[in-house]
Amino acid sequence: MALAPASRPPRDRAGWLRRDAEHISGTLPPLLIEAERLVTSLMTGVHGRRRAGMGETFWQYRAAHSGDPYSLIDWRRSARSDRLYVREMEWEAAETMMLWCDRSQSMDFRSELAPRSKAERARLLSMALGVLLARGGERFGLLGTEAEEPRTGERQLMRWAGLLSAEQDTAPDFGAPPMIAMPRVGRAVFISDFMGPRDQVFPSLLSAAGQGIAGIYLQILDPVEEEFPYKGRTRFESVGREVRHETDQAAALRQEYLHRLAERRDDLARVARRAGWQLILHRTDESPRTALLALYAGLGGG
Amino acid sequence: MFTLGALGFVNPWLLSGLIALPVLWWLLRAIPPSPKILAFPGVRLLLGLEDPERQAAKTPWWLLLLRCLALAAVIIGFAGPVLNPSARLVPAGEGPVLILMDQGWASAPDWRARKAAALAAVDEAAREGRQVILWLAAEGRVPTPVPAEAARAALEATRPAPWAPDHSHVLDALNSDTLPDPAQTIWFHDGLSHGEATGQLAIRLAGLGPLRLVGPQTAAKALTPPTLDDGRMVADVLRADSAGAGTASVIAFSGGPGEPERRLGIASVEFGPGSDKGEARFDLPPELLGRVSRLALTEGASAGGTAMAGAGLSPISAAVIDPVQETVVAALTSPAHFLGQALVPWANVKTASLEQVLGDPPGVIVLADQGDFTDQERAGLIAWVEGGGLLIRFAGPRLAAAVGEGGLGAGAVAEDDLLPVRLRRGGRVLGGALAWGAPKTLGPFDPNGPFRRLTPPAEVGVRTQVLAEPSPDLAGKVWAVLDDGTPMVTANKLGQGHVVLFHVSADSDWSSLPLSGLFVEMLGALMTLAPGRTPEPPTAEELAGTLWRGALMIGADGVPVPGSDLGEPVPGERLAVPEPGRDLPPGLYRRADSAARAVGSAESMVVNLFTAVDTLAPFPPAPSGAVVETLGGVEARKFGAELIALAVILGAIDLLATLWLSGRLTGHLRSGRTRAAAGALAALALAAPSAEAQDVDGSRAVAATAETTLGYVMTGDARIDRVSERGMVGLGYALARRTAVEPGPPMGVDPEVDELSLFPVLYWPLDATALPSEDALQRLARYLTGGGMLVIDTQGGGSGANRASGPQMRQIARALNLPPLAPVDQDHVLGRSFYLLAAFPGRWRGGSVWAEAPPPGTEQRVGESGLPQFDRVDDNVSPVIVGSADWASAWATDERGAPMFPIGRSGDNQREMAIRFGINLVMYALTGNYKSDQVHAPAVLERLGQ
Repeated sequence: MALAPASRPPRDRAGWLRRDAEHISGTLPPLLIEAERLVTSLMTGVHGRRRAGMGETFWQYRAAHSGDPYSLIDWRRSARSDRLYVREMEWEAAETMMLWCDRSQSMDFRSELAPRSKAERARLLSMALGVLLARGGERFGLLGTEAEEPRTGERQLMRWAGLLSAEQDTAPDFGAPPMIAMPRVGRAVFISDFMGPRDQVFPSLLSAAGQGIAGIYLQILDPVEEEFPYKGRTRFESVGREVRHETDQAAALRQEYLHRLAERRDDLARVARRAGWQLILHRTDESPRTALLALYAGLGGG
Repeated sequence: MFTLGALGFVNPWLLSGLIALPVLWWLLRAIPPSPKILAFPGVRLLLGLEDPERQAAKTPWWLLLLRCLALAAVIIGFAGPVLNPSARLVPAGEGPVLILMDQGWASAPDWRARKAAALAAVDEAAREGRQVILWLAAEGRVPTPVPAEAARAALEATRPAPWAPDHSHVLDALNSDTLPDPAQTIWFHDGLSHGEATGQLAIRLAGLGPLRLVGPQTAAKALTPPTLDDGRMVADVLRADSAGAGTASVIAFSGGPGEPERRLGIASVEFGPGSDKGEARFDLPPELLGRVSRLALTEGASAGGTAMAGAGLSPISAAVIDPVQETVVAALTSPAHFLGQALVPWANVKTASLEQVLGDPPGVIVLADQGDFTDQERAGLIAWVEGGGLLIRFAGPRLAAAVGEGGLGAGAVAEDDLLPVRLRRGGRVLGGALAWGAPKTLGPFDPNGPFRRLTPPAEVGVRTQVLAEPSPDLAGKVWAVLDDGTPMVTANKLGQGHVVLFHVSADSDWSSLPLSGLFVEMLGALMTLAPGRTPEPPTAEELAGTLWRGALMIGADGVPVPGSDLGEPVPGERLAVPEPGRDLPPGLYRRADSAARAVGSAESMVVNLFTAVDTLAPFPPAPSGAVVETLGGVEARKFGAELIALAVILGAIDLLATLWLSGRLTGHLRSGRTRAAAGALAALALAAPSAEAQDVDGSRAVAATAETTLGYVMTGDARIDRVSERGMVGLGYALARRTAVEPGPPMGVDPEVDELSLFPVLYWPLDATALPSEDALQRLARYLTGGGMLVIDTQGGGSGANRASGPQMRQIARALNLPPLAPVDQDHVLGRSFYLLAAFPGRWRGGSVWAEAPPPGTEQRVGESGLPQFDRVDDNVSPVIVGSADWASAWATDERGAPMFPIGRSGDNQREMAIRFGINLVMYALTGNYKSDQVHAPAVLERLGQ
């Protein structure tokens, strides 16, 4: 199931600008600032391709062939021997990264034990990742939105921010990653609680994994979802109130629930492992930095 | 109004709502409490999970009960419950209201409540504009319907009458049909049945219309006139309800017309279960018996509960018969003179010959030294005694001579009825010129005889007496003996009367008894035996033609009021068999006519409401249809509001319980703030005492150990504690002045809390009323085990319950695990640790001081000079010194250093000795057995020898 797109900003430029300006003066700067503060601890940069090519970093000296322009010859090195050497730089090129951030209602949940809702945390991590990518000069796109086409630079970052913090009029109860064609190269990051119905979540995960790119599932959960501290007669409802379950002794369901949760995680991990993906677990009462570090390391930046 | 016993309901139809309770029960059981709703994203994982058990879906039974109770409280509350509903007239009916009041003697105890209830009924009639027939049953008038206001005025002025309500009169008047039929009847009855007419009246009234019977909670009790039984005054208390046991008390008053009343005695009465009679026995001295004017019940005083003492308790008539005709000169030493003077306080005495007396016999005949009788006299006397007379005989030369003759009990021939015992021929003479023995004095009186109240004086001496022949039945007949056991006064019951023989003469020839006050007392004690003590009440023939007038009437509340001289006199015939009533109120009547009196005829007569044969009958069972109410102190009380408040509270509890059941309450409690608040509250509650208890130790311990500190155990009695403190101050002062010990300010110790080991010696004034707790005793025991010394002072002196060897002390000794104690002897170190002391007085002298017993085998050895040898080697310091001399009071000085309590006689050195003992005590505590060293023995001996 495709994620219902967020409210689309108008196409005309004036409206765009205006909306952008609103965002900049509104929710955007705090999100950006927070995201930037989060990433200050991480060194970023354009990824070397481990081969000679266009780049700024020294890669190797090689003997000059015929046909090499003179300008390429490193005279200082050549002077130390009888042969001519050409100084080669590493080929440096930007990576493409596609990110999907679950914006369903189930993400919009915060218990008393957590400082932020899952959606807020997901947005923050998305944005922080965007900042990192923008600094590294990577190209990045947000799946399921109009910023889907991967681009680089501050402008794309601002568009992300606008999209991520946009109000949503309608959102599904549970989210599932969109089943769309990915670029042939690059990475993908899916941020969600993966609490949706099994037959929606897993096919799309498998389809994304099957497209041959590597990626990361980041499962964000609220502490109560992991601990299930409820007691007594309770009716549980999903945030969108579409799914409900009533019990007389919530405490008695705890073991069963935890068992099921672990089962789902195992499934997620199995799917991820089969496709060479990674599953990162994150709780909203943990520091977002750990999740970002894990994300960054998983993306190979570390 | 719908009533259930004492409970009525204003809106009884609302009670039908109670039927709905079972429905509610079913409904509530069917509908479980609503769940709390939680948003939970992980709900999909829960789908399909089953609850392990489903019982919580039903409301628990106790919650159901709570809710049903709350609902029931609401329903009953709105139904308007009224406890002891007040008089409410039946709304229907237009005719007059008949209010019948039993306004007799039995209404007097609760007349106020009775009147208030009747007034309430009249007021209600006034509100409804109905007429009232106010029928006062004791008045004997047939009332007419009057407006309620007039009835109210009449009722306000009504007082209970000192006689019984006349129910037969009411019944007759009702039957005569002169009265308009009342629409409703309220009968304020007194709980008693006054003849058969009461029951008939109840049935008749029930036939007239709605009948309400308002009765008292307990019917009044009545009292029969006092009689004499074996010298004691006895009256019966009558009660109507014979169920269950009960008590009452009766007071005896003295005082006649124009005299103030005095209480002479009080007797308590026990009613056995099922008995409608209780006996009040007064054991009064004879001179008081004669003055009893009336008896009255202490509770529920009424005319029926008051009985005037009749002539039965007025002075007795006694005749003294002295066969010896003395000359005028000798009259002052004659037996007749002695007897006459001695009998004056007790009886109306006349001196006559035996023939005269037998013609008109008095209650008592005193025979001074009568020898033999003629057959006629003997027969007359015996008949008189058997009819209840009291014959008192004195010995004398004639009696002694008559014993020797054949007729009077000579040898074992015949027994004389007019002598209580057989007499030996010839008497005995003691202490005479030719006799060896000294005059005998009196021995103890027979504890069951009439002289049981008297104590024999030592100065009465008996020189001559007649002797009783020893016989098996002698023992029960002897009322007084000499100190060698020979009978002095013997008596025998003959028929209804008594024959009493003094074995001495009535003059001072044989003994000094007639000269002593005891003689008067003995005669007075004998007077209580006079049966009836008065002639028979005059018969109707005697009373015919006489007129009597009330001198002292019994009021309705039992208090006598002087009679009026202006009233209609009562003809004597009616007093013969008195039927007290409206025209013959109870009281004391005096002869009012001026006709010639016969000799010895009664001048006054008493009419009591009850005689000894009367009983009280309870009110007959109410006829069917009558509403029975109790006139009680309890007022009508509506408690609907309380019930509804209860329902609200139950509702609040239900709310909390529901919250708790659904888990919402625990969720809130778990939040930090609530828990912190609860914790703070709990801490507040706990902190105060513990903080108080704990902060002391630091500074106290330093202060207690900086100097030698004398401690005392605080008993909690401020006075004792103050004395202890001042005692320690005084002792400390003496120690500082005289010895090297300079103690600091003394400290009071609470053995339950304070550290005890800081004190070398603890003074403990043992207060019988404030025994220390188990905990404190344990701590004290530990203090002793750790080497402390406890001085226990029971403060009672050498005698009394507080002495040091008392059972309480034993109990404490067990609790403290004390070693065996022994009295401190002269050999003890305590007697010479600083001063040489032989006694250890405090505020009191005497009483021994106890310390740990010396080890077995170390007996004190006393040398040839009688002095202790001081060679007992006893290495132990006694952990406890026990005494009762109240040393602290002896040591105590006030702020200026002056002694607080006087001790001993002035100039006595008891206080000095007490202080010396205190110094010895502290020295003993501080130095132990140092002074028992052998080295000092010679010096000590030398000093003791001086």
